[in-house]
Amino acid sequence: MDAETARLKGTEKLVWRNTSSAEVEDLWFHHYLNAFSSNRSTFMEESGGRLRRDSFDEKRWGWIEVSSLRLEDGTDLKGVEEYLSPDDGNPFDRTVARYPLPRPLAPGEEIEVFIEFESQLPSIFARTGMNGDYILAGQWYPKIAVFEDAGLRGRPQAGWNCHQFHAHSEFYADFGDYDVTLRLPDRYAGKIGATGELVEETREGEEVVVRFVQPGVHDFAWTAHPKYLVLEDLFDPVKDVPAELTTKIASWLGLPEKDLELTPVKLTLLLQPQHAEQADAYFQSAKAGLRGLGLRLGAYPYSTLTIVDPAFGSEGSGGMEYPTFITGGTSRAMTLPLFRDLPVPEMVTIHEFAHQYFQGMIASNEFEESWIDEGITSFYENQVMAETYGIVSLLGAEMDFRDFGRRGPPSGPPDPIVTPTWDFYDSRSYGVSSYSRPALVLRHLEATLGPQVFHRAMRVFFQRYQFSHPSTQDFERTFSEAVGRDLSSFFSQALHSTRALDFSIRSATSKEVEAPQGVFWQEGERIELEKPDKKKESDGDKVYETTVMAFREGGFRHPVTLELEFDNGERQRKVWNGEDRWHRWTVTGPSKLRSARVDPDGKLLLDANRLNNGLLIEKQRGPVTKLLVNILFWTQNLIQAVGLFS
Amino acid sequence: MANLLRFSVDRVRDHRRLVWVLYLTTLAPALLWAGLMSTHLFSGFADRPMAEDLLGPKAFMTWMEYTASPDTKVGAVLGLLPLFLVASWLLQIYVSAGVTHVLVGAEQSKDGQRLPSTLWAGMHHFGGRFARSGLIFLVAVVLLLVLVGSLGGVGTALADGSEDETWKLRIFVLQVLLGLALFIPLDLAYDLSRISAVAHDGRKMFRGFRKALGTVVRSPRYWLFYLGFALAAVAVMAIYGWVSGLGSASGGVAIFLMFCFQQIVLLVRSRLKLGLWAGEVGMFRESGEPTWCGEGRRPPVAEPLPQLGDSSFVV
Ligand SMILES: [Zn+2]
Repeated sequence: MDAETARLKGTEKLVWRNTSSAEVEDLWFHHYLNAFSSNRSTFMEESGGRLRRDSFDEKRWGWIEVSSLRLEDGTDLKGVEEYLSPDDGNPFDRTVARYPLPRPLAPGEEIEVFIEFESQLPSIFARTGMNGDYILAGQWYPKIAVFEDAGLRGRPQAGWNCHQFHAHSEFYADFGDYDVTLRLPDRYAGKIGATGELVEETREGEEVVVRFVQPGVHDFAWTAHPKYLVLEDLFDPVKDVPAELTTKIASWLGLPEKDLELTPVKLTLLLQPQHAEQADAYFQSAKAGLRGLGLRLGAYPYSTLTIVDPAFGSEGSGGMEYPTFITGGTSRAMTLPLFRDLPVPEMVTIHEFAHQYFQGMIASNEFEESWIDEGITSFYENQVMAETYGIVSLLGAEMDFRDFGRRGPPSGPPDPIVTPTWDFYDSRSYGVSSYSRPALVLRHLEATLGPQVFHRAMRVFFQRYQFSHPSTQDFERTFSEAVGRDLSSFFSQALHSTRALDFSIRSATSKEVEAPQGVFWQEGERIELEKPDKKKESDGDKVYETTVMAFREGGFRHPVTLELEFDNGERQRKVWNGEDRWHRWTVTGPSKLRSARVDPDGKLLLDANRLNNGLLIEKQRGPVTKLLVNILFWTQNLIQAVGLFS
Repeated sequence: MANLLRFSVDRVRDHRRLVWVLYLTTLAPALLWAGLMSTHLFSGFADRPMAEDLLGPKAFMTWMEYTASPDTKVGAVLGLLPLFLVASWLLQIYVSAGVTHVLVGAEQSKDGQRLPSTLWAGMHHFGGRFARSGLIFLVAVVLLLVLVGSLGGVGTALADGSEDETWKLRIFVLQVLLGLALFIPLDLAYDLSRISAVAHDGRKMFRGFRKALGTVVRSPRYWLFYLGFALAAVAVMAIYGWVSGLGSASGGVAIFLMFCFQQIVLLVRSRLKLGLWAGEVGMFRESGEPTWCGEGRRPPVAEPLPQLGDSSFVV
């Protein structure tokens, strides 16, 4: 690595085995760094050079170039190198490269490839680059794409799955054993972190040479910064896992507590010296993630976890996940009295850690199904935040992490959750559909199925598909199977449609039934009943007929519980399958209706409009009066504030 | 300082009814606003079980959820808020013209028969000038914000240059303090120039603002006086925050008590505002009643003001 020019020269020996049942005729590689090579690349065209409030610094473009790609027999495939743009045909995009092989590779056969390449790191942007002396190298080497066998992720024929680098997409890669040696100027000695375990670090003249090894991962990132404060801690299951939590989760899963045993993990924190006070927040949140996800899904299988605190001005490299290596982000302001209690940096660390499971081990295709990594990760982030931080109060206002993100967007989203990342309507739709909405779908399932059923099914899915590439269909099938119920109708609506879930009570009436009057025939005899004397009638004799109209306001069909509450305190419930557009429920009884509701327990978290979920027969003036009193007060305050200028 | 404070206290005691005038000036438009809301709330919310959550600790979230619901029409009313605030600003400008007129006047030293007519005369004669003056002040505050805001770039540059992010924080704190510190003389000059305009029937509001600013800049004592009142108002709101954090009113009596407490808070703040204005009249007199805004043809509304320390005006 030449740290002056942010350029590195590399050699890569790739041993690749054809694990499919088909012959492989070519090799496909991702040259991700070329996303930053010009303003004409697909990434730059789509993003306009802006991502997550960070903008690209055009003073230094980033690129990667392969100078030779030789096979064992010395054949150099550089001459047949071909850049492709399978997604958009953009002739200026050089993020996907193809190398036809001289002869096809049979199933099970291995090939060795020797690559020489040069990479120019851009200024820190979109997770990677170099600013000043700070380096965060992600996607810095030619990365082999995933060759999917027929049947994998539901594809009909075997073939490469290799997408261009898009503004809203992350990555997709196969598992491998990484053995990486880095050579940097010696000022970086002792201040280098990477995926996997540090095997050795030696000095050679004015250079430092470090070697990292990690089997069974699908990516390798590294960082270096002479200013790093290198801190270590140990995740010790004996000390760091409260017994109550193990008991609670073991009871959900129906497993003996010893089956939930976790393993120790060495934590390395590469911290900016300015954030020295925040070391504990990083360690504690990483431990919360290790136990929260470990207990629910299975122990974290690696021996190390490296946490990177990005340098100031390099926030573009923060909040990212790589195998055994995550980047967080914080600022000095978070140590100020007001913000100290807000676990926002902790939330980022927990989120990125959760990706060790859904992205790291469940290596889903982030290009095509971003919800599997981001959505499921967001769900577990919320689980861990709720159990670790619960309610946080700021200036008297409460932030309840158990309630965080409980409500979806009020109207239907513009895209189904399962949409290729480059096909979303806009970046907001990508964000909602990849992060918050799928997390809400899972919370909806957790609430409607109950935590036991839900967490057992999630564990089955995780354990069955860890270290592979499951698709949405794999998730749906496995989940349904584990729950023992066909949930395909739910999934097709929740994940593959834009239908909004919304049930309402449109009307509710309760009328006293008049006593029979007129002419009746009883056992062949004609009798005439007169109107009874109202005064004589006691309340006990009264009969009410109650009619409630429940409506399905959205396109989403879903069973829903209806509840009637009567003046005498009696409650009646029934489940309506929610298939038709409306449902009329009529009951007669001794008491007048007080209220009618759909989803009385608030389990349908996907419900887009909770206001219409019930009706009260008698208006309740108290709550609204209180609201108006407050509106009055705050309007007066607003007027007084305007009065500063009068 | 003690003299100014005593002057302020006496002046407010003599014109207690002005506290109510200021209070009603904020209450009346707010009532109108709440009234507009109430029709929507009582017809589309009071019959919904979700409204019951308004009584609990999640009241604010429930209100936000209500406004976001496609079934609510309250959004149309909320959209009028900016317009409504501009109208309330104009109303308050006119009322402050009347109130200043009463405070400056000496011959009716106590709330007498003449209060309504003096108030009305002030609004009538000086409202337009006060509105002009208000716009000048608004421009001054915008310039102040631009000036203080541009410092933020300095913070980022310093932080980037030194790789020390605490520069950003330090500059931010400086921005806030500087913004507040510079707002005080601007506001004082604004008020004092208006007092001068009323006392001498002056019309040159911009000149008056400029000249009054010159005087204010040289009198840090006045800043402290202002700061004292500002801090008192902040303290009142802090007490309100503390008390309202104790629990959530759910019963009828509790809601009524909450209402009373809120209105007392606003009355106290109106009293503070009047106290500040009265103190500013004292500053004006201490400075020798300068004709910052020029002199008009109309005879001064007030007889020469009693001198500071002379208790004759308290009679
Ligand atoms: Zn993520």
